[in-house]
Amino acid sequence: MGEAIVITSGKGGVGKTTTSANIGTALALMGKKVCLMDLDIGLRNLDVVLGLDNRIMYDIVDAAKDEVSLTKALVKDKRFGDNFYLLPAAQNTDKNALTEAEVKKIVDELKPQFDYVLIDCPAGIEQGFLNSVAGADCAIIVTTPEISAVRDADRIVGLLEKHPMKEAPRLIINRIRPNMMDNGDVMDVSEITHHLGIKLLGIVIDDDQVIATSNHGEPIVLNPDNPASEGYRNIARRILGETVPLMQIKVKKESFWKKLKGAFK
Amino acid sequence: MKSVVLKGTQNGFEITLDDSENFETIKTEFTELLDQLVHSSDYSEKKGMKFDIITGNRALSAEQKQTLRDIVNKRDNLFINEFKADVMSNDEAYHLRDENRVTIIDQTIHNGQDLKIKGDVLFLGKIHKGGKLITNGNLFCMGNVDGIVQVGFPVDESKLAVGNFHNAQQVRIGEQIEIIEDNREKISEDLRTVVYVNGLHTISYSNLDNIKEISPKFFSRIGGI
Repeated sequence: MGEAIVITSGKGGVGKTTTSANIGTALALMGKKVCLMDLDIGLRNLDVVLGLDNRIMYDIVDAAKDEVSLTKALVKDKRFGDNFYLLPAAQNTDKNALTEAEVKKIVDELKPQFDYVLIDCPAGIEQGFLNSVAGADCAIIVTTPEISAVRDADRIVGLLEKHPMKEAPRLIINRIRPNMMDNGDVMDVSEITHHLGIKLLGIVIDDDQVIATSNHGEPIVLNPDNPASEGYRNIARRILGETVPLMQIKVKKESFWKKLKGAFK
Repeated sequence: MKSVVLKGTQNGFEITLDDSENFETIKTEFTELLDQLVHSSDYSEKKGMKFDIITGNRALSAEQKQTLRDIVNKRDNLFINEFKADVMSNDEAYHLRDENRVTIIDQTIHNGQDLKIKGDVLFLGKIHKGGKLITNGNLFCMGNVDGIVQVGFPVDESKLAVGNFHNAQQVRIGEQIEIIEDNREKISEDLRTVVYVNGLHTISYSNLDNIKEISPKFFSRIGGI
């Protein structure tokens, strides 16, 4: 029996979809059978990030309303053999098209077939959020070091506290800009973790390549040398139960000659 | 044995209702008793007569009380002072308990959460920005407050908030609201800070050392002399 994990944040634009795609890909690379569920109905993105947007025939609403079988609605990512599937969101309706019971039924149907079912939650705390958490066994809360994202993450921690899942929620701090954190311009990792009072699952450094690769439909974890990719891989290993030390945040120091060159520009 | 008995005491008259008798019988006997009373020598129409009604181990409902009142009111110059019982309803008991207890809370109140408590609160946890702790009693706070606290909810301005509110967003007492950001320098980081509503109906700050002047009633309740 697999585990259903919802990836949520409250605030939009902190990287829920990117995180879902990358953790899913990383788990699939490690030989686990993964299904990604996109619940951002009406504004689906996960298919685009994974480069599967041309292959969608049916979506989650079709499956929920029993118009097609669930297996038919799943889109297979051939790059990972039989390990990676996407259940795309519907694009022509809105988040109220599904109910919590319908989503839970789908999740329960997927869990025996996969090792991990990752649920990409839409921004906000309305019906879409309620649907996403309905069937999940545990939650991953994504935030960035920005105060507004942390405040929204705190709200989500509070909401999840009211409806406890099997496991306590865990935290990913995304889009860390090492120099800003080093200068104290934003909250640092331990401050955020301590404030939210939940366990840290991992950190991901902000990197231009994350956006560049996802524009080609390739999650960043496929590139093993990238620092953001390392962050996502570490997270995936921790989900599998391995003990992985937290990545050190290195600040690139400019050399003396580079500084001098800059001064004469 | 009569189930409705009139007695004279030092403090006036009492009518005791037998708590094992059914209410219909009591009603008839009560009416008879009053009829006799009006014609007795103890009664003078001018002076009138006031009495308590003792119901023992029976709590009368509001309707039953009204029935008895109606019977009494039909006669000139007779009055019921009050109903006394040895028992009370669960609602009354809970109310009494909530009014007089101190609830100890140790939890984190997250952004968007409202925690509503009845009675006084000893708070040991954390209130995050956007979190709200609301009570109709006093608040004694030893935890970190970055959010909003409201005491004396909804309109009781006699309640106090004691603790370090230097980093709070708002402190509300009854209907008075203080935005701490505008008054940050006035409110110290001392745990012994008392926030209260003064005679001019504005929120004011002081220290526990001055509690006797701020709220003599509270001071005597906690055993001050």
